[in-house]
Amino acid sequence: MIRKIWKAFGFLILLAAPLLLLAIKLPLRPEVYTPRFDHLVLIFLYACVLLLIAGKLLAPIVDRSRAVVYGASLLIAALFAGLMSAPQELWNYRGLPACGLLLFTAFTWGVLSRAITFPAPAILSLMLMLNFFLLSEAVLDSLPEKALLKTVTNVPPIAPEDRGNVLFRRNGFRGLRPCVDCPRDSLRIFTMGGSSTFGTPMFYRNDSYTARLRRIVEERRPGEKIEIYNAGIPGYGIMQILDSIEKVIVKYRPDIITICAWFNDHSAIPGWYGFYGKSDKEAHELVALLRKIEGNRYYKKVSGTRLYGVFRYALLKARDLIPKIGTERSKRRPRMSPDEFAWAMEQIVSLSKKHDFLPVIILEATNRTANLKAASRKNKYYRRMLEISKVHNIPLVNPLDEFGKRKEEWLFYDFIHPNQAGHQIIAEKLYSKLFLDPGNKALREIYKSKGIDAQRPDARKEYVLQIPSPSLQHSALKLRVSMPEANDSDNLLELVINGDHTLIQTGVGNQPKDFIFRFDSASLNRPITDIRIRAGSVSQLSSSGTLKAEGAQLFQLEHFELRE
Amino acid sequence: MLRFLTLAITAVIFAFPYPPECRSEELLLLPPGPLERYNKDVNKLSESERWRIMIHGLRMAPLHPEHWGIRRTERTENRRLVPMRPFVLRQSTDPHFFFEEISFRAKFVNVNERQMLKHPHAKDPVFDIFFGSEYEQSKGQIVTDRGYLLRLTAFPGFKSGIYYQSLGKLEPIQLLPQALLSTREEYHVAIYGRSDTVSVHINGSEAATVKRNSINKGIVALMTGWHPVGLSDLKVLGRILRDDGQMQTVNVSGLITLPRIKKKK
Repeated sequence: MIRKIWKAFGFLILLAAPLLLLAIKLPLRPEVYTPRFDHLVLIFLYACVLLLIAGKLLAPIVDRSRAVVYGASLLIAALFAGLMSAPQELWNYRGLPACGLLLFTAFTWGVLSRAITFPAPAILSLMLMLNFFLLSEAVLDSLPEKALLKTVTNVPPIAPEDRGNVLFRRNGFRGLRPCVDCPRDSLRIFTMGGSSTFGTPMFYRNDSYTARLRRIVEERRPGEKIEIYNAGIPGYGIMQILDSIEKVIVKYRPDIITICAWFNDHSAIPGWYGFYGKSDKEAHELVALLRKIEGNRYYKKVSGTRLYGVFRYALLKARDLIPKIGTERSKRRPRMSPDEFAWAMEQIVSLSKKHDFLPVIILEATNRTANLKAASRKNKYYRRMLEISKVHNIPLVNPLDEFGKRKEEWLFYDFIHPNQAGHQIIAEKLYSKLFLDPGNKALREIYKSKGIDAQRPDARKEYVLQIPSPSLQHSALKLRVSMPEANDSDNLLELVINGDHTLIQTGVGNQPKDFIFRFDSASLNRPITDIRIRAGSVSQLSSSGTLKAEGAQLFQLEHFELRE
Repeated sequence: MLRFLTLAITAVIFAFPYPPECRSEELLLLPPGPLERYNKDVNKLSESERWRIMIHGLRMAPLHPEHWGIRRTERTENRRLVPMRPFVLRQSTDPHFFFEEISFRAKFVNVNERQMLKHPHAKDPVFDIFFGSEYEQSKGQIVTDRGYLLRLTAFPGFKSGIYYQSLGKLEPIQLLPQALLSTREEYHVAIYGRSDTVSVHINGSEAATVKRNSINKGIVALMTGWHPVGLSDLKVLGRILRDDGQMQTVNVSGLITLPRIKKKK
């Protein structure tokens, strides 16, 4: 009965085969291919066609049923090789289980037809099939390279290299690039994250928070050897950050790695690896498996043949023939679920212990964000980061409160990418956390080993205060100022009000001292009073009675208040 | 011969490293890019050309780069991304520019309050019209950025009105009677500037008046949040006082209307 059904099925397939083979020759655009479940159906049909053709060919020589079983086994093996060579997207549809299913079908059929034996005719059929493949390869190999399509001659790897790592090699670091073999006497900080760390969409690399932090450090901590590199790559999620730290960043021997991620991870799949239905974590594991297969020496030999290329080409042609079933929308899920995100963070913490660096978490803010307390109520990623920071005692930089406080301002270019003002906020927060609040024990130890003064006061060359003018109408501004590195106490303190009124007082020294400035109404001619405060020595006074820009020195504004 | 050529080419590269407009540190706005596509028949534009036109301007209101420019410090990568940044009226960067009227019809894309609170990063109906602004940059950094703005908003917690902004910080001067606009309605907004007075008219009735010295002198710019606003009948009237005492009238729109293409199913 089964044999009759099989024969009927085979007859139908044979009728459809010429049409199918004709259709396979239709032009194919693999770059726009979206994998579908129905491809498996086609692959199965294609296998059946070849199976029956092989059976028919071998029928006059050997017992038909046995030849078909062994022919099928070989074809399935070839199919397996073809699947291996097909683009990685095909693996979404469980390539291995599909092959397993085909094998199971063939062997079940074999068992039912009582053909699982190894008599001489079957071995002969096996040899004939092998001969067929070898002959085909010999014929293809004799053809000039131009006669074959490029897709046949240049078969791409099944698991292409991670594009983030490729970008890193092509100076993926935005701006300065670290040196691998340089002496290890400086503190190395790497900022990692997606496009908001890279500085998308800003054209100038000096606008990113990494570059701004570098400028802040150069200005406020002169003489200290601190290197800061931007290792952000647009599109990166936590899985790619983990992968890059492991494969690229640790080679540069980092001391501190800041991690600013969650938004890309929460976006819908397909993620970085282009797999539908798989999270970045699952896809990363699959890519690792494919790379392992690719590294196998037998696979390398098989994949180097032209027959392999032809088979792959035929499969690629075949998969566009079946209409779509279902929609991609139904498969939507985040690139990394909050739990997977937390897992990846834990892995980074493990890596940090192994390679002796300190991870620092930066909470990635969105446009018009609420403060951390309100935002973390809705956002599970924030909650996971807070938990990990607490459990592993990892410094956490929170720019959310500042962004939340200033949400009416324009601090973003779109819903996620900060503009210059937004990057400045992140840079200032990062600087405060790393250098002004080194409460973290690991951080203090790193500073000790690198000769960084953790107790250095927060001195700057310029402070900008923005005060509503009505509140200054009947007030005076009291400032407590000191110049930690000054030798004398007759330095100048200069206030430039709204860019056009200058007030100067002398007497700034290395000890904190109070200064009171009173304003005339003429200087408060705008609704917001912008006050730029600078300090410097008397010798830096220009002929116009103002401090020269290059003459500004580091000073500390310890406190300011409005006074009647 | 080859060595001489190499030397000559190197010398030329070092002598003229950038086009003249890029060498000027004080250049406020980026020069307009290729304008050929703007002279084409709208129906003959390719999809890529339509995109190029769409991305220069507010999200649903493309602006002509000959009239509206981007600040040099806010130059962005050449990519299909529509960032939120002010689009500055080129003629208003003249230090002697005074605006007399800015009028338009505006309507936010409809969105309910629940959606706004759920996705504040993207559903933020805010439209700012800057006027009387001063802007200065040096070595790629913003030194001065202050002026007045009319904020029209339907975002919960925000208030429509006339504000003063300096380096991003906002100070309300006068709020509109209807502080929170609706995303379902279209508003006809007109801002009239006199020497020391600016008055805002919404749907024909006066909504706010502010008196300040030279309030109508300075840069005019438009900016929206990520949530799009539909804009029509844009008109900016002004004048520039020339060195010879002559008045030059400015009457521009620069708003481009691109008919929608229905996607084939």
